[in-house]
Amino acid sequence: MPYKLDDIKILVVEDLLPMLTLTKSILQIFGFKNLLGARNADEAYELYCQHDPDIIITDWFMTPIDGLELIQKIRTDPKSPNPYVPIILMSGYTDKRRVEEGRDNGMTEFLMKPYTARDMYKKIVQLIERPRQFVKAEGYFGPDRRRKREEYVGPIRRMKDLYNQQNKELHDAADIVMIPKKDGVKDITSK
Amino acid sequence: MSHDDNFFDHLDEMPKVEFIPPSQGLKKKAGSGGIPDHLIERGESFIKDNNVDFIPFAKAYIEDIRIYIEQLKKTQSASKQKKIMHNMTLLIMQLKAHGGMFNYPSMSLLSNLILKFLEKTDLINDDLIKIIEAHNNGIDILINGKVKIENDVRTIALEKELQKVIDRYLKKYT
Repeated sequence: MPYKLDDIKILVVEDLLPMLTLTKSILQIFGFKNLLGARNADEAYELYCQHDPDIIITDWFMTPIDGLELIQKIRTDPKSPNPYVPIILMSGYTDKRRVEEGRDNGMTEFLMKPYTARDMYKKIVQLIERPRQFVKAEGYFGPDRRRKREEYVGPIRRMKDLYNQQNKELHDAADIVMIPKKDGVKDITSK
Repeated sequence: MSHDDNFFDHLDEMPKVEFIPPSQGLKKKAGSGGIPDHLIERGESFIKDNNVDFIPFAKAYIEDIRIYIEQLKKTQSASKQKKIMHNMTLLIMQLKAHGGMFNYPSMSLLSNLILKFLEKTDLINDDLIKIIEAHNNGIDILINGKVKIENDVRTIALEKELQKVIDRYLKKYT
């Protein structure tokens, strides 16, 4: 049985009208029925506050406020109805530096343009199946920037490191006294 | 006070990080099973068959790039040059992002090439301006010739030429 998408509300923010229409149409084809569209960040924020969508898909470069500023406002404004809302940031940029910039500003997923329907699908699946934990730290609030989710194993790892280190020291010490020879091992301590 | 009394004090001074568990709200609403493959295929066809005319947008972008090129040639101020470059890069990024969405993957290909190059270089000089001009003229050729696909001979020739001048530039200045 496929996903039930009827109740999932998506806000799409895109300043280029044909692109906004195209993105909404693809989501409609996928089965989403609750779709909202905005042509700029101000309009988007207003719609976001009114409708509290489940997912936001926004373009990065818009004027006068760009997608990154919109994300920051959603994440940090005290009036924001859901600072944890998953956000897909769309951009034509491919450079790793840009993706990191988006990530550091609180995006959940990055969708590179031009995109295919499958690319969009994969990002949505990611949001549904692998929701990200949030991190609240000095200077950052947003999805955990580490992709791999791991349990905290600090003390165990340190113990393992210590064990390996001690083992290595023992091996090294053994290497000093044992010199391998073609016909076996010569013990230099018994000269 | 002994040395040991304040041994753990540094832990209080460490920045506090709070982890908030992920919300399962979307999963609860969507359930499981994914989106049927035929709907994804329909989405692909919708992108492929959309009849949005991207040419007026592309023409406006390359016209604006042309204006920025002229401004770049005239200005001596490094901060102004940087700002112009930033604005120009955004327009090239629009060509890259939307050309491919609206049936001009050829446009995306050429623009991606120069976008990657501009992301790597900070030096603004006459040679760099010439490369941006070459890209802009290339896009003009694609528009006038209605060259849409990536493996059209004209796209391939333009890509090769652009790559050649970029390589030459990188060899000379990096």
